Amino acid sequence: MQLRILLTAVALLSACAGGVTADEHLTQTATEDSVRPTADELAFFESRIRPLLVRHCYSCHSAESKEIKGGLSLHNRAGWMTGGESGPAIVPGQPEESLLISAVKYESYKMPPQGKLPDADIETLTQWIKMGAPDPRTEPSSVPQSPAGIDIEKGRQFWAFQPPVAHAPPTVENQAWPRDAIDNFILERLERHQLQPAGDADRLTWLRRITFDLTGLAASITEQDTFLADSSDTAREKVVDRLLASSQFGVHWGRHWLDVARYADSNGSDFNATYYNAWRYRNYVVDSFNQDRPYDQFVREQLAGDLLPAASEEQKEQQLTATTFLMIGAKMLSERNKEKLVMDVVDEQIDTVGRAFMGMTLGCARCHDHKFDPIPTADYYALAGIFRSTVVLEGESQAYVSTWVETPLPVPAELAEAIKQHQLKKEQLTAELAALKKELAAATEQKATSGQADPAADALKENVKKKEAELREHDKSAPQPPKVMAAREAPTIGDCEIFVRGEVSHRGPVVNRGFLQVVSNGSAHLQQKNESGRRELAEWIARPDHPLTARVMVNRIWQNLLGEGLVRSVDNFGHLGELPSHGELLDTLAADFVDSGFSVKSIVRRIALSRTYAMSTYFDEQAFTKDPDNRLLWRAHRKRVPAESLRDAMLQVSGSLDLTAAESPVANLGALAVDNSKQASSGQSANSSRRSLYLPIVRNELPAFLVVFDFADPDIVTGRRPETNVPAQAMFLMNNPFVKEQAKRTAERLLAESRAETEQDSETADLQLAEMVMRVVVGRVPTETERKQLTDYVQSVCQDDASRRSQAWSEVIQVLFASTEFRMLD
Amino acid sequence: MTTAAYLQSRISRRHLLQTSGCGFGYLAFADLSTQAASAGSGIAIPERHHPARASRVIFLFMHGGPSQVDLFDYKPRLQQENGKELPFKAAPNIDAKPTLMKSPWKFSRHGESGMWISELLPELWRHADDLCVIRSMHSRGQSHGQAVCMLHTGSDNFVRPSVGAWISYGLGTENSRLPAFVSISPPAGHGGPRNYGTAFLPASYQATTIGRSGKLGSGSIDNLVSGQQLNDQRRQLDLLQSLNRNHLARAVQDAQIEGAIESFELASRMQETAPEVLDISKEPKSIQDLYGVGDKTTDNFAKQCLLARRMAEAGVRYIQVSTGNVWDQHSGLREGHEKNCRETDRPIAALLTDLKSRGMLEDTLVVWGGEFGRTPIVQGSNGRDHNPQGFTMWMAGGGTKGGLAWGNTDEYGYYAVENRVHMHDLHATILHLLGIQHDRLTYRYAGRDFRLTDVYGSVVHDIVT
Repeated sequence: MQLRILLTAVALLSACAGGVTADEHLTQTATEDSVRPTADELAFFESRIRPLLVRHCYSCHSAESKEIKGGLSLHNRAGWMTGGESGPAIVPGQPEESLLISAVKYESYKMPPQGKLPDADIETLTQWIKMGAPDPRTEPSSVPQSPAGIDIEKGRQFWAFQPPVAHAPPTVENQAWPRDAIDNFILERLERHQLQPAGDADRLTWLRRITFDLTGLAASITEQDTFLADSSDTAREKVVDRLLASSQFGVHWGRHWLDVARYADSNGSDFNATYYNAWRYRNYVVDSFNQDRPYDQFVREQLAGDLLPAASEEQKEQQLTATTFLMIGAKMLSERNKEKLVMDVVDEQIDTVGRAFMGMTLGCARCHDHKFDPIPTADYYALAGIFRSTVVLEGESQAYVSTWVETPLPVPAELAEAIKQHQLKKEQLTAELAALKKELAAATEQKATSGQADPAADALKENVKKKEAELREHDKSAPQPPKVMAAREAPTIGDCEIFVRGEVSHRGPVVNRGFLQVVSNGSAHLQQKNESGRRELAEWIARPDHPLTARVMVNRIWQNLLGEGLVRSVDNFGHLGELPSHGELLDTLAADFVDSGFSVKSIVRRIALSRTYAMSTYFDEQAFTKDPDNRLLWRAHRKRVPAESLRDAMLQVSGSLDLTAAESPVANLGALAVDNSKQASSGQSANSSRRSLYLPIVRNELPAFLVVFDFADPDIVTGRRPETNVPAQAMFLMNNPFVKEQAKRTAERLLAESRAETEQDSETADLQLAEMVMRVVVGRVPTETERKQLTDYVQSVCQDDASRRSQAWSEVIQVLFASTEFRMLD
Repeated sequence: MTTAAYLQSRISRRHLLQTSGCGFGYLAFADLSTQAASAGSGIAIPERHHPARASRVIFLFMHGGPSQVDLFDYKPRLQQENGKELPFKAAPNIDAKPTLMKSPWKFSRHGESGMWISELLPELWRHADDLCVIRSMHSRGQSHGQAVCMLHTGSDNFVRPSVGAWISYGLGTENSRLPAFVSISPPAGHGGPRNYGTAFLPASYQATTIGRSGKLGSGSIDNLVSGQQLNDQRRQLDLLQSLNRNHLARAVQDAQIEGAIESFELASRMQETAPEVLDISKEPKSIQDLYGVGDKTTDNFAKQCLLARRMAEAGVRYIQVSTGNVWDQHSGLREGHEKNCRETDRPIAALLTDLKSRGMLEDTLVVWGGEFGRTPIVQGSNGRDHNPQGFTMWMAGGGTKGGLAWGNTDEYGYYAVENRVHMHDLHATILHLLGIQHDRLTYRYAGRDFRLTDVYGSVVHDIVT
């Protein structure tokens, strides 16, 4: 505890950003215009002087010290030049004039107070000052001005660190409106502000909205008809339950999680190595949402699946796969300072775990106490110890380039047999090749002795070549035993030192492994010191009374259905995040979520069936003036259709969508998914008609369709995707061959269907087609005006040339694909 | 979006400027106010922090790490002590032996300034007095991946916005029909798109790319061409926009729908303008010859440099041209560097000549350099290893002092020792020349104000005129 207090006192001036003003830089430059050290001097300083200063002086005279004794900092050149209360500590070139020397000689002060330095060290310092005290430490000063501590107890008072409790639904005037307690919370606030909730969205609008929101797909004409025909009270429930039961629910909601988990099929970064096995995790996530795996279990498995008990081999595999979560961040694999690399990976894990599960930005605390949230640096390194005791990196694929852990999975009998057969065949081919080579050698020798051309030898040479090629091909087709990217415990487990300012070369004191103090009631330390601590961390995050875990997840669910989170900064529940618009509702949902056994589907179902969800996007001038951001939810937010759904829906209406799940999308790529020499782009050639979830998410080479439409950057945790309107999107929709192709196929399909059904003249047929096209693509019945707009267009293209009809309709459909209505959910 | 911003968005033109592409990035300067959003052209000319010396940047990226001691950093002692041991410690984690290897090329002095330039760059000799050569560069990252990201984003390990993205966020474009940031043949590896990406900045500030990995390819922008007659497409666009306006009418008011409608108009204008700019055959033969277009050796890089000039002229704010990862001579220094110089020397010299003759060099900052330099000690028998400890970059135009050699490495050209310029300092200086104070160009993300130079960076005022 003492240690933590000490550390909280270390507030470094050089903040994450903006801490250094131009003026300070100017002063900096002014004090630095003396001679720069030469290489020799530099070497002398680094090998002899810096270690001395660090060991004997820094604890009282540097940024690391609790307070700077006597106002003297020896942390950089400016520090000793200005000096402390007794004036400059060093006069370059004049050791006898330098206070530092008289102090270490115990002539003026007695420094260091713990005991006089050996004479050799004093001589070294003297020599250095004689040289002119060359000192390369010119980085902006990190001397603390006013050491500010973090008051953990006070920090706990912040709303997000208080455990959520359920609240009774408030009473409302308009009692007819609410369908669920959710609606009471919303309506009560609206009434308090003299606002009315918007009317219900019309039925087809609701159906389109819910179908996209739950499965990421469009509602078919049959589904539209069924719903319109169902006048029962349970019509909406039937739809929601049908969609929740569909395997496409997991595809869509799994993708939401993959945004948060910064999922990718390659490392990206400096060395874009292919993740052949990341897909297992992707499918695990999809399955988890489809099976409604309790969220607490989902959390535990991703953090510590390898350490949890398993009832079956299958469960073991699945839990192991879940830990891929820890592995898939982008890593600077070619970093040559491996210690730094390990700490960078640890940092990436802490940052991801913090934001994904707890909505906390922990990365800041790597270099200094969190500026805004009660997270001291010690808490960061308490977590860092856990992740440093976990192996992610193992071995090198080439000099200096690290690789990651791949754990073999049990080999199914069928595959084992295939591997055996492949091996046998290989042995046979190898033997045949050896025999041929022997024959060839004999023939060559004979030729050399006889001096005559031998056609048989040439033929043999040819055969050797063929056999070699065959062997190469055979090797390439070797069946691979299954592996998974799984984390595991490190051989040496231990606590982590604080790295001052995040620099691996600056070691501070060791911190006990543990969790965030501000959200811990009792001890925030590990119980089992012989484990990495991931298991305990997982239990700690997934425990029912954790103030952040359930809140953050229900808030994500709310956002995915309503368009904005109750806390809009979904990845930041800290002081710089936003406050909840409806705090009691959030807390009630979080408490209910925990009570439901962390069932995602039941929360989704509840919200989806609420009156709040069913509101229209109707614009009301008065309400807009009062609440332009719609924070109080006086209407539904108009949402964007995400990139994957745009693509999937185009494939769907063109009749080309393949709903089957896929395995690795990168099996055909080399060990390096993208390198500098490749001209073709692997990600963009993705030509699959499966759902977009299964496209190769090769970092640095993402599928163009997804990138253009605001796909989540897989380098960072993305709880909320950006929403842009850029010309690149417009150009894509107008000019991209994929879009044109889907439009063409849709036109051909619909024309064929309409021909089969009708015998009318083309004008009537066109009017009917217009309706069908609108219902298929944007999920509603067109107005008379719209029907006319579409058919006029078709007629103007066709003019006298009826053969252009299909082309004309495909242009119309492309226009609909590009329309704001298709790209948004009203 | 904040309430205030949302209310603002009721003025659709303003909203468009905030959310649409082409980097109408004046939001960065919101605190500076007096935004001159001229409604007619749709171009925002933001107020700078201080008067700008440069209006645009052309960054010539020499991917792989060109050798300072063979191009600009003449070291007589290295020549004399060839084969002797390096008298101080080499940097850690490299494969080079601590044995000095002299430059196989002769150096001579050029221009009135007497700038030392090696015989590998005879065309550049003529521009000796235009160059502001920084011989004391140093950076982070002993491997390409780290150093390339460091050069482009100011971070060797974290995901951060690229220099071009920051600049287009800060300054926007000069031409609403073109993007603010174009990267020609950018590296596919070593961070790939991270080097021209936006990270957490709005996506609209990322580069539009042409070609990749040092090759111009088709020289076109993705999805720029429809394959349709523009007239036919106009008819289609008319239908689209009328449907969109129907939608907007039903919504009564919706900034996103308005933004989408405007984005189609912008795209349409870009489709009309960009192909023209991209078409280098429009250049007179004499200019093509000057760059070396059509000459097998120089053709690829000549086209890229010429394209860069056309972009600069048309109002693109930040243009990067990249060679492939070709400068990485761990072995075969002689052949490798000779080939690279043959291919780039003439186009680069021509770019300077051309800019100068158009009066554009004054406010166009040209920057040349790689992610690091190379060791004066030998790797294998005839190569040099990576050297972020000391290397050379140069700038020209845009308010930099021509004919100046700034800073020094040690006597062998290994470590930067005098007037050291860190990559952060270079970034700070580039922003400074554009009228931006590097510590005031910030963006809030995940609870922090980020900036290109993190907590570092000092403007090198001595190299500014």
